[in-house]
Amino acid sequence: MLHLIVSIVITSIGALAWGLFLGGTSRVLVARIHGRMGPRIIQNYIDMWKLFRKQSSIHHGTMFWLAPMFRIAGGIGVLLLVPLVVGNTVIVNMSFSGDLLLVVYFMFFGCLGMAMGAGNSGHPYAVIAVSRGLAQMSSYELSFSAVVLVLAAGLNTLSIEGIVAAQQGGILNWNLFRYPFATAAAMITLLPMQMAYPFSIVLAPQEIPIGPPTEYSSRFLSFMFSGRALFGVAKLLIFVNLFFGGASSWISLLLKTFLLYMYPIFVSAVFPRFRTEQSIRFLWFVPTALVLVDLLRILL
Amino acid sequence: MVIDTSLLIAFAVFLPLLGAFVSVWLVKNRPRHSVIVSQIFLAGGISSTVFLSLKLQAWSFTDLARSAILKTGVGAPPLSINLEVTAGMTIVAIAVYTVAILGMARLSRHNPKTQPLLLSLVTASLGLLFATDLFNSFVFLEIGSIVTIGLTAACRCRRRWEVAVKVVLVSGLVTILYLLAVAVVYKTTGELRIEVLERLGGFPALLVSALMLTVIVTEIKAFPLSGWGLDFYEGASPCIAGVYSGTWSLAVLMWSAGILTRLPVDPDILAWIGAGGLLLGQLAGLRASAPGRIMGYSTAAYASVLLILAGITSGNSYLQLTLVLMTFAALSKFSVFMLGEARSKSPWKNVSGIMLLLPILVIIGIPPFPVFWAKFRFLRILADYSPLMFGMVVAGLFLESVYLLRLWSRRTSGVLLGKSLLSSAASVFLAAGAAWLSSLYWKDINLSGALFELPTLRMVFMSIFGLGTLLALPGAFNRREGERNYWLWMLLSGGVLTILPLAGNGITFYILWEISAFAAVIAVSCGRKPTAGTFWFSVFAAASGFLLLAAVIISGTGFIAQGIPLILVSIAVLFKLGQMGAHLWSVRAYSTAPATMSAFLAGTSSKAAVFLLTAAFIGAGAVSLPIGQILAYLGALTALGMAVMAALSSDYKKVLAYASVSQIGYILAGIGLASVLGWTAAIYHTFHHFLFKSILFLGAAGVIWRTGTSDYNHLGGLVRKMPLTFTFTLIAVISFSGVPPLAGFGGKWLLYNGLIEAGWLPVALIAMFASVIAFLYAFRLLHAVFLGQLSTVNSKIKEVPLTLLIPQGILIAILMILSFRPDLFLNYISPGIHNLPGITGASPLIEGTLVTTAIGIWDAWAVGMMVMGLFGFAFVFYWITGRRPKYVKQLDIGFAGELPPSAEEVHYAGNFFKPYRRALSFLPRIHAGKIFGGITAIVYSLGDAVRALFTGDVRTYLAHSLLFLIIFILWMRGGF
Repeated sequence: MLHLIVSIVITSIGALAWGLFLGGTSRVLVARIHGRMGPRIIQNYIDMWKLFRKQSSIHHGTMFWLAPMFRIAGGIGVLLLVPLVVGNTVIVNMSFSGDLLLVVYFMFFGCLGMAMGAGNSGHPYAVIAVSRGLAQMSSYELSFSAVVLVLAAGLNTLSIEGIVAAQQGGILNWNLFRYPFATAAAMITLLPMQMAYPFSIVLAPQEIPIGPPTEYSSRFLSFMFSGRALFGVAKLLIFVNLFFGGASSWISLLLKTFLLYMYPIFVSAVFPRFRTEQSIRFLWFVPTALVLVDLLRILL
Repeated sequence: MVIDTSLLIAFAVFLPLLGAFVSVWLVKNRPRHSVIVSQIFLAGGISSTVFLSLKLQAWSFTDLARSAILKTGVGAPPLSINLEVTAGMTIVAIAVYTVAILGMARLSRHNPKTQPLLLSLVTASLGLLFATDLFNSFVFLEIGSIVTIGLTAACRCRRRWEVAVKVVLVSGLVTILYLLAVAVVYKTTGELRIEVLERLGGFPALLVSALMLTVIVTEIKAFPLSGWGLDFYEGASPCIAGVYSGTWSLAVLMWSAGILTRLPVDPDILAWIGAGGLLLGQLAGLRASAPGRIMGYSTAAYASVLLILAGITSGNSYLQLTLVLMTFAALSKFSVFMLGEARSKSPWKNVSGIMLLLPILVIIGIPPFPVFWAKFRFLRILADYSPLMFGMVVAGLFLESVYLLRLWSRRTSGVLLGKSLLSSAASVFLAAGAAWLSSLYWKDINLSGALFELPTLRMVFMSIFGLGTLLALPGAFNRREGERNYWLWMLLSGGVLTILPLAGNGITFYILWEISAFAAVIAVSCGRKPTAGTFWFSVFAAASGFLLLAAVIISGTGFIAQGIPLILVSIAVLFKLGQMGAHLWSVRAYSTAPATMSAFLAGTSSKAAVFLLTAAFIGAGAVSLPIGQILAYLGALTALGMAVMAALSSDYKKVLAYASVSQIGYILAGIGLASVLGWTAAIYHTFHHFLFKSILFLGAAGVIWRTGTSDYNHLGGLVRKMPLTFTFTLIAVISFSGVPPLAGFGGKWLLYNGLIEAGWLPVALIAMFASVIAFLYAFRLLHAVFLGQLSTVNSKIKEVPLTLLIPQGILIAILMILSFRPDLFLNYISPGIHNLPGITGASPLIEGTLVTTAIGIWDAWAVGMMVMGLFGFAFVFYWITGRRPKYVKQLDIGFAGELPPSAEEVHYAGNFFKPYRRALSFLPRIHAGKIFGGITAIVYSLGDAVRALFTGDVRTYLAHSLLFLIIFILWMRGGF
C-alpha cells in the first residue's frame, strides 16, 4: 500500500513537472514560429507557483468549488491507469485495475467536473464553451471509439499492457505500421483532445473569454492548470502506448511524449480555427473514414 | 315450495308486457307513479328470471342447453306460442332485464312515454330468446322492430326521423325475406320448429339458408350489411342506442346464434364470411370519430365474431362462448352509451375517463374481464382451425381496439360521478361477472414460476418490480393541480408486475402483463394534458398485448416457440420498450404522465418487456441469431438516435424520456448477443437502468412539483435550493454516462467486451458513439436545471418533499453498492446464465473484486478507491492549505466590464447544442410520426375504400341486403 502511494506521488509530481515543461517549451516554440522571442521555458513553473500562492477569494457555489478537484482527480486518475515503461515493475500504479475502455471512459471524469464548475459559475460564456467542447468531443469520440475497437479486435485484448506487449520486437510491430489508417485517425483526434488549432473551439479566445476557466482565478486556476498539464501527459502516454510501441525505458518515454506533444503545437501554429459545426463535421467524416479502412480489414 | 317453471317463464316474459299496458294508462294519468310501477314490473320479471336460472343450474355453466318449456294456448305452434328456456338464455335474459331496469330510470326522464315501449321491448327480447318456432320468432321480431321504431322516434335528437325511417325500411325488407323463408320451410316440411331447418335439403335448403343468412346478417348488423346499424347508433340518442344494444340487439344476436348452427350451410363458409367481414369492417371503422358510430362498428365486430363462432365451434362450448362474448359486450356497450348520455343536453361531452375505459376494455377483451376468457378460448380454437383466419381475426380485433381507445382518449375528462352512476352500476355487474367467470377458468392460472429454471433472474426482476413500485408510490401523493389520483392504479400495475415473474404459463403471463399495462394506461391518463400520450400508449399497449396473445396461443403448451411466435414477441417487446419507431408512445407518455408515474413507467414498468424477452428466449430454447442480430442493431441505433434527440430537446421530462429509451437500447443489444457476457451485461444494465432512471425521474418529479415547469428555459440554478436533489441527480447522471467509478460503466464494459468477443464491431461502434452523445444531454440536463442562473421566479422555493427524497436516497445507496462492489451482483446472476440453453461464450471470471474476460480487466473496487482517494486528497489539500473563498451573488460574474442583465437572460439553456444541430443539417429530418403517419394513411385509404359502401342512403343498404342474397345463392350454386 505504501509502495503504491509513494509510486502515485512520484508519478503525479513527475508528470506535472513534465507537463509544465512541455507547456513551457511549446510557448517558446510557438513564439519562434510567430517570430517573437517568447517567455522562458520555466515560465510555466513560475506562473503556476504564482497562481498557487494567491488565494482565491470568491466562489460561485459547491460545484464551482469542486470542479478543480474533479479536474485534478481526473488527470491523475487517467495517468495512474496507464502503464508507463514496459517491463518496469517498480512503478505500475493502477494499470492492472482497468483496461483501455476504463481509461477512455474515465477521461470524461475530469471534463464533466470542469464543465459542472463552469455551469455553476453562472457565466454564460463558460457554458457556451462547454457546449461547444462537448459537441466536439462527442464527434471525435466516434472515430476514437472505432480506433479502440480496431485495436481491441485486431490484437484481441483490451488491456493496455497487452496492446503494448503486442507491439514489442521491432518498429514494424508498432500499431503505427500495423494499423496505419487507425493511427492516422487517432492522430487527427489528438488535435481536438489537446485543444489545438484548428479544433481549439473550447478556449476560442476571440469569441468567448477563455472557456470553462472564465470565472476561475488564483489558486483555483492553478488547480485547473495542473489538472490540464497532468491530463495532457496522460493522453500522450496513452497514444505512445497505443500506437508507438510503448516506452522501453524512461528516456524513450520522455522522448516519445515530447515528440508527440510537438505535433499538435506545430499544427496549431499554422492553422486557423474551425467553426464549431465545421469541426464537428470534419471529425465525423474524415478520421472515421480513415479508421473504417482498418475496421473493415479486420471484419473481412 | 316448488314453483312451477312454466309459471316462472310466463312471469319472466309477460310481466313486462302487462306492465306496458298498465304504464300506458299511468303515464297519461299518474305520471309521477308510472316509473315506480314500471320498475316494479321489471323487478318482478328479473326475479322470476333469476329463479329460473337457479332452477336450471345455469351458473354452473356445464350444460347450458338444459331447458324448461312453457306451452300457451290450445294448439301447437305456430298457432300458439311455445317457449323453451335454456339455461344459457336465462343468463342473457337477466342481462336484458338489468339493462332495462338501468335504462328505464334514465329514459323516462327524456320522455315518459317511452316506458311502455321499453317494457314491450323486454317482452319481445325475451320472447325471441325463448321462442322455439320460426313463426313465433317472427311475431317477436315484429314486436321488437316496431318498438325500436317507436323508441327511436321518441327520442329528442335531431336525426330521429331519418333513423326511424331507415329502421322501418330495413325491418320491412327483413320481414319480407324472413316470411319467404318461413313459407319455403313450411311448404317443404309442413313444420315450423327451428330444428326442422337442419332437415332441409336440395334447393329449398339453399334458398332458406340464403334468405335466413341475409336476414340474420342484416339484423345482427354484421359487415357488409351493417350500414343501417351504423347510422342508427350514430343518429339515435345515446340513451336509446344503449338500451337498444343491451336488450333487443343482444336478444337478436343470441337468437341468431341458435339459428345459425341449424342452417344447412357449410360452417366453413359462415366462418369465412365472418372473418372477412371482421377485418374489412374494422378497417372501415378505423377512421370513425362519432362515438355512436364507433360503437356501431364495434357491434359489427361482435356480429362477425358470432358468424365465425357458428362456423368453428359447436355444442356447449359454442353456447358458452357466444353467451359470454355477446352478453358482456352488450352490457359494456350499454355502459359506454350511458356515459355518453351523462350530459343529456350535449351528449358525448366530458365523459368520465376511467368509467369509460372499463367498459371499453371489456369490449376489447382485456383480462381479467369476462370477455377476455371467451376471446382467448375462441382464438385458441381459431388458431387450430385456420392460421390465416386467426391472423385476420387478431388484426380485426386490434383495429377495433384502436378506434375504441381513441374514443376513450378523446372523451377523457374529469370524473362525473353521480350522473354516470347507471353505467357504473352496470360496471359493477360486469366486475361481478368477471369474478364469477375467472373462478370458472381459474385452472388456467399458474403461478408456479415454471416459465424458466433460473431463480436468480426471477429474483432480480421481482425485486426491480417490487422495489420500484414501493419507492415510486409515496411520490404519487404529491399531485400537481389538474392531476387526478393515480396512486391506486400505479400500485395495481406495479403489484401485478411484481408477481409477473412467477407466471407459470403463457396465459398467466399475458393476463398479468395486460392488467399491468392497462392499469398504467389509466394512471398515465390522470396527468394534466394526457390526450396524445395516453392514446398512443394505449394503442401500443394493445398492440403488444395482441402480439403477445397471438404468440402465446400459437405456441400452445410451451411458453414461446421458435419461429413466428418468437418474432411476434420480439415485436411486442420493441413496442413495449418504445424503441425506435415506437418511441412515439414512450416519449409522449413519459413526458405527459404525472411525474412520479413517469418514474414508475421508465424505471420499473419497462423492465417487464425485458423480462418477457429473456423469458421468451429461454422458453424458445435459444436465441435465434437473426432475431438477436436485428434486435442488437435496432437497440444500438435506438440508443444513438434517441440520444441525439435527447441532446436537442429542451424539456426536462422529454429529455429523460428520450434518454430512457436510448439507454434501453443497450439492454436489447446485450440480449441479442446471446452470449453469457451479453446477457450478463443486459441484466446488469437492466438493474442499473431501473436505479438511475427512477432516481432521475423522481428528481424531476420533485423539481416539477416545486417549480411547476419542466421547460429548461424557466429552470436553472436550483442547486442552491435543492442540494440533495442535485446530488442525487448528479450521481445518477455520472452513473448512466458510464464514467467510472459509478455503476454505469460496468454495464457498458460488459457489453463492449461481449460485442468485441463476438466480433459485432459495428454494433459496438454505434453503441459507443451513442454513449458519448449521452454526455451531451447529461451535462445539458444538469446545467439547465441545477446550474447556471437561478430564475427570480424560483427564488423562494424549497427542497423537494421527503416522499421523493427518501426513495431516491434508498436507490442511491443501492447504486453505490452496485458501483463499488459489482462483483456481488455479477456473482449472483452470472453462473445461472452460463447454464442456459443456447447461450454461448465464456463467463466473466470474478476473483475477489477483479473481473476479467478474455480480453478485458476491470476492478471496480480498486478504481473506486483510487478516485475517492484522489478526489479526497485534492479536496483536503485545498481545504488545509487555502483560505475559504466567499460566496458571491449569482450575478456577480466577470461580464466584460458590463452589468449583467437579469438572471433569466444570462441563463444559457435553450438552443444549447446549436452547432450540433447545424452540423446535422445535411441529414433529412425523419420523424417517426411521419412514418407512422404514412402507414396509417395507407390503412385509412383502404378503410375509406371499404367505407364507400356505407353511403348513409337507406336505399343502398337495402340493395346491399339483396345483393348479398343473390351473390350468396350464386356462390353456393357455383354460378348461374
